[in-house]
Amino acid sequence: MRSIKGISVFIIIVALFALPIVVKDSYFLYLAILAGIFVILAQSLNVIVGYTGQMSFCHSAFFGVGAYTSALLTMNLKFSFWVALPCAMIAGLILGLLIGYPSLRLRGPYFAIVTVGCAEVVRSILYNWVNLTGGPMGLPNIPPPDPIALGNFITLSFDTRQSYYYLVLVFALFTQLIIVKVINSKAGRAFVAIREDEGFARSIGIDIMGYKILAFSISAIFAAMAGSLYAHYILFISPVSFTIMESINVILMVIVGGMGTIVGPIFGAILLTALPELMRVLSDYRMVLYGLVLMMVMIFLPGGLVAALKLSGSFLSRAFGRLPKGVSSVGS
Amino acid sequence: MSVLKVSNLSKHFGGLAAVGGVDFTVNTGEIVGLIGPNGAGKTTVFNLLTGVYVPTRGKITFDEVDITGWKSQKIVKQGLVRTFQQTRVLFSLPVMENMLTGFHCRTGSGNWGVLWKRDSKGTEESWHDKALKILTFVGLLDFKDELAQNIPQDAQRRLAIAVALATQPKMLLLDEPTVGMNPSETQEMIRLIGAIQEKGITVLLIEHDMRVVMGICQRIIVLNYGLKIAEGSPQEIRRNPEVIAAYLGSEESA
Repeated sequence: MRSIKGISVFIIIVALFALPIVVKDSYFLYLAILAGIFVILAQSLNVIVGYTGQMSFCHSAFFGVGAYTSALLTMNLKFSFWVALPCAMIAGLILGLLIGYPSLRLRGPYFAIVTVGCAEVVRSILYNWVNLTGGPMGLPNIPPPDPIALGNFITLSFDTRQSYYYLVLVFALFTQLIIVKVINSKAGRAFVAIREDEGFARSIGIDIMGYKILAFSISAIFAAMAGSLYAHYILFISPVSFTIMESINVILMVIVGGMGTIVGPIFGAILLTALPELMRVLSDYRMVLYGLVLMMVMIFLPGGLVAALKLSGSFLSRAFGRLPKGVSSVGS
Repeated sequence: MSVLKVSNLSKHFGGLAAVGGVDFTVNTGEIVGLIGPNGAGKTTVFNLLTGVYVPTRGKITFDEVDITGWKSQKIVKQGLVRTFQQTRVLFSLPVMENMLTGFHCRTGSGNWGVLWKRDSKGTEESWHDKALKILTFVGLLDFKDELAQNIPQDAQRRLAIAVALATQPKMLLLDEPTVGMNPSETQEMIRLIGAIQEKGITVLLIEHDMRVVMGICQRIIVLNYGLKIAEGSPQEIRRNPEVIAAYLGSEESA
């Protein structure tokens, strides 16, 4: 069972690496890169929303702070992208701790409302600190990541879509790896216990505040990393990209894909990045249909796409009787 | 030798003294009953002992250590664990996963290892074996792969105790373990509490069912309006006029 999982993960990774060689369409690659960045965002949000059960609306703030930190460091202080990216992650961590310490004491809707406020405060700062952030005009001319030289002959540069695709892919895989590791650790078990019943978790000796802050910080660090990757890809950022709607968009990805599962947010992020584009032919009716699709998913698949996969898996194994067990446990 | 010593324990909510200066001790290996009419402050005492509330006044000494004002996680690690009146477990998870979560405070890992490993002291398998032992002890082995929400109510109650046992306590606080149980389930619970005592774990239990209290407690503490009104053996408590008055209303006040 474990080996079937391992093999399928391996095949998917190989396929992802082969993708730009097979598909040359530049618009497709653009979408694939965006999807990769949103996979990082959705998976990091999943740690706090899906596994720890705290509905947070300030993911856009971490995303934005990561993007601006990285852009400003490379533009004003001439930092290399490879230094700016970790700096952006540290900025995300600091903001995460700053927001997390006071707000995680609150529960349920109260916590959610405070995070709405925090997202708005960060957006306002980006919008109004014109001297530093350029205000509503945003920051143009962000440099792409500097090339890295491997030995004397090979240089990896990231100025083409194809090369940036690989950069994002590597970071997305790195994020998955770390988050899977954390979820399977002692901390991961504590997160789930807090989600299921805080009072009970406390009664068996789990440090509620400590683990909530841990989950929130991890979520913030990776969101900031996604922000940095976004800034150095689009090469122009403005506060419009980091409004609370962006948070809601990422929350939708997590919920539509399947909260509290590893594969769910990945599916959700890819689907919700692709869906509006696929529906472009419908022009004005596009967002109406998008809304309808979301409603349908919530009504008929409250567990998200992963639940649907599991259902169809068990249906197939019942229908054919002898399907290997691993197939029905894709989502677990 | 006393394992738990409570002196002048008080908790005020605004002007209301939910617990107003209670003293008692529990000796190692005893089963002690904490009884009293509704609103007497029994559950508040549990919440104070386990760090859910910080006492307004008073001192709690557990296992020769002053634990007054400690955080819950530290108290659990010290070996004092409670269950709830309304059964609380991780309902959407399998029974086994509940047990493994119960080991949380005993699994060790350095400050950073917590993010990488489930445990650095033992392997996942060794905890698995320990969990199986405890599940056998409480009679839940058959349910080990079921979701906690799908097992019968009395089994959920025993699961809550099993998870509490997984934290490896020296003393267990049980909040009405037999509420809503039929006679045979109650008998089963009484047997279980007896077996826990035989393992050397001290038990303090809140209970309304007098057959249970009189049947298994070596000593009984009676609270009323946040004050201790009596303490003694079941026979003494049964005859104590103040206790009878508290439960049935005294002649003077009538």
